[in-house]
Amino acid sequence: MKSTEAAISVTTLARRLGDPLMGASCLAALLLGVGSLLFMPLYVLVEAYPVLGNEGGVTGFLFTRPWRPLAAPPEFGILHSWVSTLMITAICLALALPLGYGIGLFVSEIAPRFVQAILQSSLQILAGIPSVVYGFFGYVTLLPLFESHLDMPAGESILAAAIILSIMVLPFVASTSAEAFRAVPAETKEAAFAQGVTRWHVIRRVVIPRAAPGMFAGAVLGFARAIGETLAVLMLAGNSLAVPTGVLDRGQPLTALIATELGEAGVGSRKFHALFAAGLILVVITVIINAGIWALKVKWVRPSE
Amino acid sequence: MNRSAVVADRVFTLSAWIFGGLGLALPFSIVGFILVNGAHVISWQFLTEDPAGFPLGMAGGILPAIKGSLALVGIGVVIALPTAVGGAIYLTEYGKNVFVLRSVRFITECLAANPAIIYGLCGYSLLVVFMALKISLLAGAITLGLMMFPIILIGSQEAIQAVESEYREAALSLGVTKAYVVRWIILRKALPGILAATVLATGHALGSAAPILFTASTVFSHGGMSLDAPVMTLPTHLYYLVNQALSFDHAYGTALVLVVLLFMINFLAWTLKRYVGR
Amino acid sequence: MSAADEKTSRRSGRGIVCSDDLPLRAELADPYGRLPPLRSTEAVLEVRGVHAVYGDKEVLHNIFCHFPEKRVTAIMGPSGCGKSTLVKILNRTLELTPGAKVIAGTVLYHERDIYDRQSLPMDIRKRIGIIHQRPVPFPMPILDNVLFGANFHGLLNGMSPREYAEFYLDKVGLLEEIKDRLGDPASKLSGGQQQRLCLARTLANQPEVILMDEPCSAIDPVSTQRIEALISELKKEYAIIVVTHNMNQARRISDQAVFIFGGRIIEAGDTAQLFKEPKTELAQSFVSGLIG
Repeated sequence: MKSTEAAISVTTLARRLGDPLMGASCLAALLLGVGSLLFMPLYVLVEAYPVLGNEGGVTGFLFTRPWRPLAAPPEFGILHSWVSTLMITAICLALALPLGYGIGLFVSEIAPRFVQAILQSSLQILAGIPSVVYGFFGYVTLLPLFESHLDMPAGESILAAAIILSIMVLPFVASTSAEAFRAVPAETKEAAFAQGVTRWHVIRRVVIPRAAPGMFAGAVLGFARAIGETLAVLMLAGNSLAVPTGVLDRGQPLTALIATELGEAGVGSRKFHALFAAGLILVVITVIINAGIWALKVKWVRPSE
Repeated sequence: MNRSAVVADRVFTLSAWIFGGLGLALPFSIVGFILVNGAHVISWQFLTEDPAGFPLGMAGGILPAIKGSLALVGIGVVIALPTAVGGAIYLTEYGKNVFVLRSVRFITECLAANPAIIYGLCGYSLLVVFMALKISLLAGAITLGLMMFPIILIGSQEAIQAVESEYREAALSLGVTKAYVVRWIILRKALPGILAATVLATGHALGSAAPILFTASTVFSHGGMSLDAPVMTLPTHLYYLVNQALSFDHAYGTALVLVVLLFMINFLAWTLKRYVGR
Repeated sequence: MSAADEKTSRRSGRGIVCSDDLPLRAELADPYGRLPPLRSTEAVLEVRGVHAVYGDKEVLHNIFCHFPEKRVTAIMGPSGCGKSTLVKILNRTLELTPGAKVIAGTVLYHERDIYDRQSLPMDIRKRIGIIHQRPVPFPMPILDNVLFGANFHGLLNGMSPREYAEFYLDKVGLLEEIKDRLGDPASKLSGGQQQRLCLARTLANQPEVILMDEPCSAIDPVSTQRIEALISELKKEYAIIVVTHNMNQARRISDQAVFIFGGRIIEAGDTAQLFKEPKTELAQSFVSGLIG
């Protein structure tokens, strides 16, 4: 008995080492991956910092200075850029939210089973189309339309970018809000229906108020997605350095600014730091939004349990 | 029930159906539009030749772009998949501290949503310049790998966590190590979920131009690919064609190839799920 | 007969200790605390003063008992009284459930404390196998299922995997039924077949003791019969401990029985004796079907 026991222990020794080995290598993988992820925004902050400390500082960067890399001395202000971002995003949400909520309501409350499934697949397809393809689509459909009907020499504009962006954001708003609508307990709806009112009444008075936090989350997520989009707006917004004033003006949102100017930014130059500062704004907004959604999820899921 | 309420309800129902119809029509019209305009461009030459013509891209084919895209994403997956699955295994099987686990999850979810251009920005600065990888396949693949990592991590973690505890208990009761259980049982059961997350990440990476504009892509390349040389990719090629207004025919063709490739990947995922997840 | 003699006769050779405040073995210890060596018909597993908890709720209080070799011992009692917990502490599988653990006392296996620092749970679980209430077939072919533990512990010793697996499948009477289907996924088997597969898997690990946690409660009556027949066969080679809430089953299959209620051992001893003349009121109620 003893010798076979010893034999068994020896042969399985290698197998027993498996645990510490796996634990260690998996930990290493985790640290590598999450560490790199964490490193990114910190790095952006570090590279953006010189701009924030410079002449005029943050206010100058954001509000007063124009973007003139070729001037002497070169100036790097991003007023035109974040205004473009805001305008595009605002119009985009103005289009995407009603449409998205409408589709969300349709999917969760009205559509029969098989239509639900088809619609969900279509939304997934919409979400899966790459940004550059959307940009291309807008380029060959919207821009000529604008040029002929709105009497513009070139169709690139805030509005064009916003319209295409709203299609891109639509599936996220629709599925998030559909989830929120579905989460309204059936008993609550049944109780309301039992009062003998119309479906719209129940939806308006019961479902929407209950789903409001989820709808808000959908809007906020749509916002985050919209400000982070690059290629579509790059191809459709026009890349002008002037501050846009109307929807048919050309603009250059933050993402497009980075994409356009990075190629000519020498590493370590002031333009380089300025682009990182623009990036920092995007990172900060995205992280805050996602952290907020996380907190909402945590707070919201628990009380209902 | 009063009249106006009934009317309001009817209006709502009608609008809802219209919205639903729009939701259905949009993707099909977009894809259909590309299909209709791009179908005639697709030919054997288009898919297997290098760009030609003057300026480049007006004629010939897009083979290097197809190869470049596949190579970038392929290497990116090779980097991201083991790292993410390993991390997911640690989080569910070996991680002890609840606080650490939750904060890792929090960090990952927050940073997963970073705009793609930021990945490109950091990739350019750190990989291309600082680590002197130059604009290359390797730099782009690492950037894409990092972008794919959180998606695969979160999906894998959920898949592994979903494996019922009875399996773990029954297996460990036989006196084997946790690593043995992970290797032979947990990973097997979690495989469909892991694959689904990987495919999601791959599709996302295949179509993104922003991270690789400055880390890997070039307007033209031909012949073989190597890790330290830039590559053509489908999304960037599409962008260049449009930006330089080179050839709209080819642009449609490129867009169509890209969309078809994405469909194929998703279809692959769907069949894999059904085959593996029995 | 004096009280001391009565106690002695109750605990000689064949039996199990009776109540929870009579630590049997300790009283036989010599002044230096050494215990006499076990004889083969004596206990292979001994529980001493175990308290077990789930989180902050204590579910086993001061358990003393032991289990003999080459016999079937039934652990019985109504639902929720700690039977499963008791059987799981015997091979350290209780600690696989988060929050559950043994906070006091110990279990001796062949005189060795399985809860001390030197003991490896892995070794103990190999030598004391367990099958659970719900059969858990692994997501792999039947053959691989049977060999799962055996491969890890290197027990094949040159035998072909197929031969080794077929031997144990035969032992549980499954080989006839699935001889040509060994490559099929185990999930395709019926509930009763899966449970026998789990038994084969445990046997393939070459344990010395087999624990069974309500092995028949989730399967059909025909399979139950077959498993009970198997238990009678297997007890010739292994010590078997079966948890059951069905007293008829306990009566049918076991030689000794332990009756547990509310996390305490109420009565223990020869099965026939316990059913005929239970010494405590609670046991009396249980065997007459009033509780459980």
